[in-house]
Amino acid sequence: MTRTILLIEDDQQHRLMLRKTLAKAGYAIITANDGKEGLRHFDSQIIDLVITDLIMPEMEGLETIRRLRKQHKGTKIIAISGGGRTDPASYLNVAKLLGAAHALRKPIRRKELLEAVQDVCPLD
Amino acid sequence: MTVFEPPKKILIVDDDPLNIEVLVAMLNDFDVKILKAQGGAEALGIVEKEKPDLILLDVMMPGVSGFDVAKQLKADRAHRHIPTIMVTALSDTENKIKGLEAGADDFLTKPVDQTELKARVKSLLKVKGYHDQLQNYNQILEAEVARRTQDLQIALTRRENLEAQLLRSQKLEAIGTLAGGIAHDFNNILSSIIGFAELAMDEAEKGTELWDDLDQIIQAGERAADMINQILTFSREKPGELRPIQLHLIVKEVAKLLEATLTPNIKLKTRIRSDAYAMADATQILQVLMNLCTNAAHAMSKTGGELEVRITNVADDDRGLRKTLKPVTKTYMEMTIRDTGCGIDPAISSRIFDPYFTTKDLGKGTGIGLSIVHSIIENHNGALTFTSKPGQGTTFKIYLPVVEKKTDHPHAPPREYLRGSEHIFLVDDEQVITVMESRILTNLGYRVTCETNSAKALEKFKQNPKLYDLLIVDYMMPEMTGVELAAEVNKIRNDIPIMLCTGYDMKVMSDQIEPAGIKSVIVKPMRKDKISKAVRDVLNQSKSGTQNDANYITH
Ligand SMILES: Nc1ncnc2c1ncn2[C@@H]1O[C@H](COP(=O)(O)OP(=O)(O)OP(=O)(O)O)[C@@H](O)[C@H]1O
Ligand SMILES: [Mg+2]
Repeated sequence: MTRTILLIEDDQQHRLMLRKTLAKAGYAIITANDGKEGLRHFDSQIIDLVITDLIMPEMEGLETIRRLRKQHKGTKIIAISGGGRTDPASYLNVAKLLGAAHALRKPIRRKELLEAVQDVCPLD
Repeated sequence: MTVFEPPKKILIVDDDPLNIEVLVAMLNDFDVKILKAQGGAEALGIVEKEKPDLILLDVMMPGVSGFDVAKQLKADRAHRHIPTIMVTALSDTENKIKGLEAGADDFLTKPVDQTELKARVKSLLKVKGYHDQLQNYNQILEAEVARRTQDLQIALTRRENLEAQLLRSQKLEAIGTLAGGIAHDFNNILSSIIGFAELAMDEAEKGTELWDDLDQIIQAGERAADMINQILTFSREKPGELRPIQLHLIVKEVAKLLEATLTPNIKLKTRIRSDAYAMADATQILQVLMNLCTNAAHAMSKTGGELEVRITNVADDDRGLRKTLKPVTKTYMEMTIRDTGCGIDPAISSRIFDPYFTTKDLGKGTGIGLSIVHSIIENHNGALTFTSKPGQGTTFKIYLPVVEKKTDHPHAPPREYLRGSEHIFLVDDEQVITVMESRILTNLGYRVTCETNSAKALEKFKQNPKLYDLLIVDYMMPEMTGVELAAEVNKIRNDIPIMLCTGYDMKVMSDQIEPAGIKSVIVKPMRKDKISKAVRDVLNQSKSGTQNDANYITH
């Protein structure tokens, strides 16, 4: 069974890197530049896991997570953040409070990423 | 005309003694003392000892040439005023230019003409005479000026200190702002660098050079990430809470930590001469001392030595204290960290507080230690000075304002808590917390029922909804969050007041809180005063039937 991950990240290069890494691990990947665009994919796809950056234009990552929890309750979420003016840890904490299964801090190591992904969305 | 008293000294330098004698003979009727050197090295030695008034210098000499001698003399403050005549067989322009560049004042071409020699020597001696006189006057003047400038100097140093400190804080601030702004993008970039390197590593074979190189890219990326992190932590540094503490207790703590880490060639001495209280943040002061002591230990790592940590009270007119810019309006105490290590080169002493300034090898030091020390002391309204002698050691002094020991009211009246006898239903998945909270509530007179599983709690509530007067739920619970549980309970009985506990400030979620019937949000940790007041407020409110927005209680 294929597992589909929606990857929401506004940094194009970082998105490409994550996409390649996850595709190599065997996942089907859909990408979006921001939360709004990401949520639209739910209309046409079955999405098992959403990986979202927290600081993005359009719809902030936290807001995206809240909507997901409301509109697509079963979807697993992993939040990633590199922080900004405030401690990334505090963003990530909020993400977890809002229901993200894992919150990872950038820069992300592959091992850490795949462990988190496999934890909530295992390939059989 | 001035009489030369004592006679002027002329140094003649030539590798051929015969040439020297010729010149000596030509200067026969001058009342001067002649010194002779048969080589450049010897000449420099004589200059040092005798301080001649004029030098006749042969250019072509084996070993140290005339050019070399001239160059060295001109580079030396003490000797650069001694006029030098180069005596050379070379008449070509190129060598004359070379001589002038080396610092010669005049030229004579061999064979030397006596009239010309005497004329040149005479005029240069005269110039030297004027120069010496001038220097005498200067010295007198300087002494006078020095006396007058002394006061001015102190004022100036203070101002410089102030400016430097201002600059430092501005630099730190700028770096902090900048760092906050770029950290996010920067971490994206680093994450890409590391991630792509990891992808590339899949294509390389372990043990090959390519693999090693990619591994280095990853390591470099992680180092950069650490650095960004440090800048961020640093720029976010807020003044900690200052409380009256006895600093010597921290010094003792530091001594303990150091004993475990110092190498045996470093002797640690602690001298505690004060048990005064200062307004301070214990962790930050610990950090300051550890930073300074680590630097000291590092400075002595090769040679070994003595590390002294001293703490004393200082008088208002203490010299060290006066050197700092602080207007002395308070009583201060002084912490001294003295080492006998390599010392700080004066050339870099103005930069050691700069963030990221370090003389340590790559990876050994980030250069952030002293800038943190500086900003902490600033936050404490303290002052910081240091003195250092290269090769002998360095002493840092920290001044912190002293406070009167806080007079704790020995018999403070016991706090009055708001009490009640209502029935409270408490739901938190952490059993320790339910135990603790129910103990507090029972002590206040309430009846308490506890549950650690939100689904079970809902069942229990359904069985007898009228039994309870208040529901307290934790937010973070598996299966059903506190908000979800509240919403369910609200469906069954919409008049029961609900209080939400959270470990995090959740104003972000206010749109979910009210529809769920939550009347009050209380941020952990719970303290008795906080909880007793919040519980009473919510209960009173629901009794009087007032419809209020959810209350936030954060402290
Ligand atoms: N006690 C000392 N003796 C000699 N030099 C010192 C001493 N303290 C500081 N320095 C000099 O000041 C520089 C800056 O010190 P600072 O503590 O800010 O950074 P660091 O020790 O190099 O790195 P870090 O503390 O971040 O590991 C040092 O690299 C060193 O050259
Ligand atoms: Mg240091």
